[in-house]
Amino acid sequence: MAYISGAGLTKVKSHWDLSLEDLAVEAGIKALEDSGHERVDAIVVANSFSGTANGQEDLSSIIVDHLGIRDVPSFKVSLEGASGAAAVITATTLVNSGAAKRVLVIGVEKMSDVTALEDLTLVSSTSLDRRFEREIGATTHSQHALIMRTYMRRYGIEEEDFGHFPVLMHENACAVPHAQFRYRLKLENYMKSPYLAEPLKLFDVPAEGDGAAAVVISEKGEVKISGFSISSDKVMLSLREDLLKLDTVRASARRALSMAGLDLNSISFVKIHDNSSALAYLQLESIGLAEEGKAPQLTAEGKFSRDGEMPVNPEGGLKARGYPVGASAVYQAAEAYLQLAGRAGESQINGAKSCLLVSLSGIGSSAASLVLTR
Amino acid sequence: MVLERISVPSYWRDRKIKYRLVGGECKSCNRRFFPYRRVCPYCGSTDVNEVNLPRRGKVVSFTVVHNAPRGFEYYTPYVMALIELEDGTRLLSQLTDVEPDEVKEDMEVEMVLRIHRTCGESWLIAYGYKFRPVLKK
Amino acid sequence: MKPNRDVGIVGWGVYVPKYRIRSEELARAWGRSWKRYAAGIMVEEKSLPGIDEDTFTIAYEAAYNALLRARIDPEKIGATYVGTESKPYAVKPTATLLVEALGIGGVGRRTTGADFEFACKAGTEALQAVIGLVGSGMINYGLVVGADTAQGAPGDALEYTAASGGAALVVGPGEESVALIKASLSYVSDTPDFWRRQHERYPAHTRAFTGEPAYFHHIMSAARALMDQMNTSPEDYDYAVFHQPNGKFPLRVGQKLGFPPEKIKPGLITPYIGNTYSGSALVGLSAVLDVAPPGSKILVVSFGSGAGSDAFHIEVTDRIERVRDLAPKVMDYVQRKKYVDYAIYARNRRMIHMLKDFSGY
Repeated sequence: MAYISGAGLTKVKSHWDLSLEDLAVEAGIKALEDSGHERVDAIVVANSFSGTANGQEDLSSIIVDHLGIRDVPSFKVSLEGASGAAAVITATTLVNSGAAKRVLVIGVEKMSDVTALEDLTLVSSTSLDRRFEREIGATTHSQHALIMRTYMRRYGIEEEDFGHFPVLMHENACAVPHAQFRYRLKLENYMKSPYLAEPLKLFDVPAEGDGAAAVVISEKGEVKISGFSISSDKVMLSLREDLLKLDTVRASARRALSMAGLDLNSISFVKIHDNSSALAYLQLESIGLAEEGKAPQLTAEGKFSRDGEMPVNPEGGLKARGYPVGASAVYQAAEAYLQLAGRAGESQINGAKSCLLVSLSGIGSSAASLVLTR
Repeated sequence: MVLERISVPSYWRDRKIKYRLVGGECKSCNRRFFPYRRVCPYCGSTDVNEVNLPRRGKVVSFTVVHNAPRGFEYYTPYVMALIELEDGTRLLSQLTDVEPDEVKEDMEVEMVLRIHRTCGESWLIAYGYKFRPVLKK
Repeated sequence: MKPNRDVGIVGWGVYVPKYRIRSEELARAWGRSWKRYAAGIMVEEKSLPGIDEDTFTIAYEAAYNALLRARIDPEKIGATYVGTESKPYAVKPTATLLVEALGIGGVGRRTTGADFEFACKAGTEALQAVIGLVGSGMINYGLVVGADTAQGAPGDALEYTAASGGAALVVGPGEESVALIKASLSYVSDTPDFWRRQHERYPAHTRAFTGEPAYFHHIMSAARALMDQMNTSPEDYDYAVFHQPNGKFPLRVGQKLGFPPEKIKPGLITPYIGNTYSGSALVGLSAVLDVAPPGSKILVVSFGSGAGSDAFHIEVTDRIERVRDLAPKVMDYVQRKKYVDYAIYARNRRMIHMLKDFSGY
């Protein structure tokens, strides 16, 4: 069995003063201190774009070095937005197998060194199929937009209905010190935000943000990693059977819950990967928290608010807490750990005892699910 | 930014597919897909032949790109569309020769060969398929 | 020049981009009064390429249409020649791209290929080369394209007419032809009426000097020499297609040679779309093939600055009616249009550049 025994987070923002490794070290040291300062047997680094955005390969060696640690195995795990979950699963498996007693997992991403928006869009789009999606003009925005438009037409949903999710995310992040955006978003401002790829607007997607988060996975701790699973599907949207069904989310969530011996009824809160409002709705539906086409309405009605029937993204999700891509699923794990340990401060969900964490790579080409329990 | 210039060997490798819309036809499950691949994405069989796909189809969904990636900034706003060809094969493609507000789902379109990127003044020009509203029924 | 065996056009096709700019708008950009030029040029608007088009993409669709009419397997084509003065690459023939894109020559790539250059007659001289290859029995089918995205210098008089478009011919054995090419001859001299130095973007020209000593002299010399050789006179021809730098010159040279306007107008496309340079005479010929009844005789005389003229005697067969409707016609492309202003024209023609390394946002 593997447990989370400590966590560390940096604020999400454009950290002009901190390099990629500086951020990783800050989060890593915080997590080590939080867990009680003992030596670690291995380090797993979660990151998506260090090669293209920072020109740095062999990232795990770099970070181990900068942490002042010698003679430990290190791994860089990369599954785009699900890198952090894959890293946690790697660490969990090392501990479960007895190969390690304590593993430090650090997720870090820094894309603010890429200043031109066109270059940032290009780097962010490297998770699309290069030859037949990206090189013919597609971007992550245009892919999300196709799904958003398909959703609107199939279920008769208006653009405005997508605004409920970012509005909820911003509301939640007001209580979170490390969140990138801590202001309330008005629906009318959501509607006025410019189109990135019609009908997808600026406020449908997270902004770029640097950050690092870390957790220590050990043989003992307050929070157990009770279930985990990763699923994969076709990368290209044109090959998928149904654009609006995320098979990877459905399959991995089901397996992770089954592994933990739980069902959705016993879950206290859920964290999903809102890399766009449309994908957020698809995840809620694929997990089984909403019937198809009903997620917008349920969001507007408050089902997923922090004080609602099933809190979703109590810290503000990718949209408001922020989205350092490769690190985001470690942020999920660190925040969930604090929730279950009763240390989430103003954003605490009372009596939280278990949670389901879902993260995606790209547009759900892979999805990772983690079930954590107190 | 190193990714900006296309890799010549990579472009050359894909030229037949990009010029002639070459897909794959799986002999095991009879499905077709684009682009051609060695392994059928639907059933996993390696019994796949190359096939020249039909050049006509219809728009299934589309979006208008305003935030272009490096290399495409000259072309905005441009339309990306999910297209279903006459034989049911789906692919993603830019549309051309059409204004964004003229595009509709179910619009009949046909393949043309156009510039994807010029890569500045000195590097290779990347050509490939795009789709436009059918010129003549 | 006559081939050893019967040779002719097995298929023809054109392509004209959708976009147009009015002469009036061009004049406005440079503070000129369009009325001064209107009557002299007889070109109200011209075509320009879309932002993702160039001479290769134009040549491709023209050739694709020609193959639709020719109904032969591209694997059988043994020569691929493109005549143009706006090649996408100064070194790397447009023909190589066509070969790949159309599957010419089959897996063994059995085709000869190159680009030809001779101002506006590059396409017709490529045609002569293919007539020779087919006519001698060296190959059975050849593909010829004349296409351009002509470079009109900003503010220059030629900006009103320098247009974009192209035409393609599949040439093959006489027995399979929709129109036989009975004979051809050329008149070539050193007459520097218009040229472009190696690294210049835009050509230089000599205004009135391009008239009498260039256009008129070469066309009339080649036309008379061919009619002499064929023992024909203007009355024997149903159609005459001349190089068409504007709407007036073809009518005037026709008149001087003895051809009435009715024989020239069906093949006079420049008033609609401007001068497609290497496409000019071949687009005109295609427009005639779109309508000419079997048995029609066509005289085609091109002109390329520098200078030279190629003349052809063509006779339409009754095979033409079977294939005419297999591809879009010249007027289908002429009628498909969208007007743009000078700013979009400058952008599409890449006359203004976006600085790459800045951010556009």
